[in-house]
Amino acid sequence: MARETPSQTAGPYVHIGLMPNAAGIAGFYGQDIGSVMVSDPDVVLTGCIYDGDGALVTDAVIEVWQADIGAFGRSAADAETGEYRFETRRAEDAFLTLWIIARGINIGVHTRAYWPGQVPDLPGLDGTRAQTMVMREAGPGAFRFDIHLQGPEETVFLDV
Amino acid sequence: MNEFPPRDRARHPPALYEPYKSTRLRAPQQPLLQMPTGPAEEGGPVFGPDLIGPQDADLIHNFAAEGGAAIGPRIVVHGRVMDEFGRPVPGALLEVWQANAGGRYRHKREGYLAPLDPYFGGCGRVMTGDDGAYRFHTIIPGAYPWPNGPNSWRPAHIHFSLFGQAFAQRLVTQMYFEGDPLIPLCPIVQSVPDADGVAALTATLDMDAAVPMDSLAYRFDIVLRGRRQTPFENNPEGL
Repeated sequence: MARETPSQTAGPYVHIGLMPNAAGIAGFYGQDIGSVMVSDPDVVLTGCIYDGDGALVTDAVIEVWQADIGAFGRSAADAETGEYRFETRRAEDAFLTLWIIARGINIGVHTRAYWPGQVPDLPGLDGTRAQTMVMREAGPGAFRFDIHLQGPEETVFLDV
Repeated sequence: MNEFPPRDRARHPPALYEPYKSTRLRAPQQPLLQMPTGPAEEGGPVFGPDLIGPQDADLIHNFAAEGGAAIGPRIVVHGRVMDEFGRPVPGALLEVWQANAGGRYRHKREGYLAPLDPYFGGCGRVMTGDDGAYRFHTIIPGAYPWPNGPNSWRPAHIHFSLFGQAFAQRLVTQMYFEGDPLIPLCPIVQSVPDADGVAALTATLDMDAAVPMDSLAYRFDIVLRGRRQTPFENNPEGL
């Protein structure tokens, strides 16, 4: 069996390659892939990513995949507020699949954001930490999912 | 369910690699939760060939004014995307980004004193064909300093992002150039656990693919995770 090509960090300039329009480099592509997830969104998901000091990670790119409706999204953490944002639809699955890359992340980290009221049903998942994988309601049609890379609130990351 | 064997974590850099300082506050500290792959990981976004514009795979020209071209040593980068079982991965989307020939990125947070090249953007993409092959044109990026240690320099490199056919295959990596003396000095490269892994990230000069009087060529083959073969597949070259 051949071995997988090793991962390397996406680095701080990942936006050039993955979302040039959002990064202010127009002229490459008509539209950044993942910038429109669905044509008729009914929910907004936002959140921030925090490092081990509780500081905002403002150079990350986060991707979301909804297998049930085949929707893919890609968002950059805002350079000032650190906030990412997805507009999508709530469908059948209990969760959204998330993947985060950034400077200082040697291999992209996988997690899931479960809709409020859902209970992550992964074998071996510690009950108290399971809550790190659940969104909270932030208003009508608005959901919040913060990600903690380290520390007492560290998000559960999956060996995908 | 369980279509992908577990990721070979020993192949990849550890999350925390002290010499690369940015990992210290960003590496998860808890063990990853083991799980079999399921529908959420075994499918993924599909990008048709229509996504790729006529100049997307030509970084020498895709940001240049009409009639212009990026400054730097012209190269072809090509290779094949295969899976761990030796099967080609057709329709894989490769997105690439890089610094210009002086080691400067076109990014608002970039402050290196080397100048921008007005004719170079540093962004491109290409899709693999039925045989898993890909090919794009660019210039060799420059080495550049970065704030890790007092005098840290990145070897010349091109960033790659890959989508295969499943989200479980998602990969971001970097390609280096054969013979670059900065490779052994770079903590990002050296975070890869063994020399064979570093070799896998190092493109080799490929004179057979060079374009005479135009461009040198480098070969960079990529391996993505592989889906287990089903009993219905009867491929004599497979397992």
